[in-house]
Amino acid sequence: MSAYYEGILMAVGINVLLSVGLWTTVSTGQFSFGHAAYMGIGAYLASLLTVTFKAPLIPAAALGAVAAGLAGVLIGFPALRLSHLYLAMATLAFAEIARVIFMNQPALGGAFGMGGMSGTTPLLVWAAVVVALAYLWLLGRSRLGLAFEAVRQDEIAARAMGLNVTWIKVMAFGQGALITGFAGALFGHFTFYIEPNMFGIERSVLILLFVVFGGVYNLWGAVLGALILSLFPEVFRPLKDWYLFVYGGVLVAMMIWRPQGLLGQRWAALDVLGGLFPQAKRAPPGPVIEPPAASLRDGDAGDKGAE
Amino acid sequence: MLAIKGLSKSFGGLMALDQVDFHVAQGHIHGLIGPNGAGKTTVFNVITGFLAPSAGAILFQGHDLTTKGPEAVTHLGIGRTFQNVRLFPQMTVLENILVGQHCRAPRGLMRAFPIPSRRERTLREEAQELLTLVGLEDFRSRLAGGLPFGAQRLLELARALATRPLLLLLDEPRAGMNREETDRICRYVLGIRDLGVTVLLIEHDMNMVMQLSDRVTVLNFGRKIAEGTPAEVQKNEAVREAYLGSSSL
Repeated sequence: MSAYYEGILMAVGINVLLSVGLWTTVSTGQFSFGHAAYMGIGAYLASLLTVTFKAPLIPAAALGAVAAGLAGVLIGFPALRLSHLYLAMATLAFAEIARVIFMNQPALGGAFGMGGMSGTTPLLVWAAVVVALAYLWLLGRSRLGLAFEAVRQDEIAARAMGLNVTWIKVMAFGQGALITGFAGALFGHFTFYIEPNMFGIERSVLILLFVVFGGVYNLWGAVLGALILSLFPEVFRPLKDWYLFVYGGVLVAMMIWRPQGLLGQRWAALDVLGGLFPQAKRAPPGPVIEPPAASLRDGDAGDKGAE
Repeated sequence: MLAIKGLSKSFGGLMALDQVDFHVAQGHIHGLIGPNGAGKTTVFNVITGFLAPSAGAILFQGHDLTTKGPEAVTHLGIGRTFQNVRLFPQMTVLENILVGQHCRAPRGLMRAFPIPSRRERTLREEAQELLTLVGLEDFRSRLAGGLPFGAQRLLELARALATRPLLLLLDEPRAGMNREETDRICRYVLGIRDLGVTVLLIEHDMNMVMQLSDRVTVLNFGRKIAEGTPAEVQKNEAVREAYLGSSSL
């Protein structure tokens, strides 16, 4: 495979990871405008470990991801008490703070950035994509995934069901940041060079575009969005720098005709947990709610009135 | 079982609840009635921790609920439904029930994976039971938002039961229901009581309240104006005035 195609393969895979990372956070209804910061944390920490401390790439990337995840949890706690616009502003501000910190750390190369990283391979990137998707697919069919969905759909009802909404949102924030951080580490070792402005607002918005374009309610929508939007500039080379305009145009069109994104619906909706659960043979109803249940079914409102 | 003492709630200058006292006895169906704006739903929201009381105390089986949030209240065994049905509309009927079971599901990291454990299997069978109980078993894979309104109310009832409450708060369970569905709701409320679940019931349908309740508390303008058996309350002068005052127009 030529270096050109290998490069595309890696870039697209990293974008898919970034997209599903943000999707994880958005799946509880929380829009983050600052996911590039987690990407930056992953990229910088992993690069520092591999370049300065000669650590192998995979453990370094894992540490970078964990650091990004912790940052996500830390930011999540205060930020998730905010909603909608305020959350967007808080996450945006956090991303800017992170960028300024990268800019002013001599150990991270300051505004000149860091170089000397290498080692990202298409296999590594796509293995990470497969692991992340497998995890998120399982999550979507689990109790926790259902709780994420419940929080997104109706927070008040979710609280009335005993769901700890803050904790669930923080979990979603942390897990999303973790995946994004790993993607960032791979990104740093793919571009061989990173500098703070790679993790600015444009990047955050681009990641958000993948998710919104593909569909926020569906994991595969986030994957599809990242695939299409990151292959687009490759296929339409002649557009050169104009492709951002086309992105904008496509998004305006989406907002008008298909605001829910390409894949608008949840898919896992059909039977959560079902696929991995052999349907129990429906023996006569168990004793779960047995004796009075009978009185419910046969029902006799008259009883009480007759008393 | 549930004791409400001197409960007040003000929104700015408006006293939504003013020194309300009442007591719900274990195993009873307790009616909570009053004209529109009397503060009935506010009582529910304060009990379930969605609103913090301005003054007073709420005791539930020895626990002080006054400062507890909705999650904690649900875990202690109080389930509720909402006046304007709040289902998870883009989830299936079955999934709605599964969310209701959340506080009893396996905890920890394992929750992030769909592991067919024994506990999980039991819970799923129980979810099926609950759907059968309210007659929605054939709709289990349909999206909750697409159900007719009456069925949505029944589903919300089943979802509240899925939390395994000791006390169930029902906020106007028959509003918007047709005759046949109302009969079903009445049967279910009685059945739920017979399961050992105490019920606190807000309802505008006097026939239903009087027929079902063991005891009735009447609120008007945020104050308790009467309490007693249905028969006592029906004879009460203050209650007649609160209701008939307007209907005599």
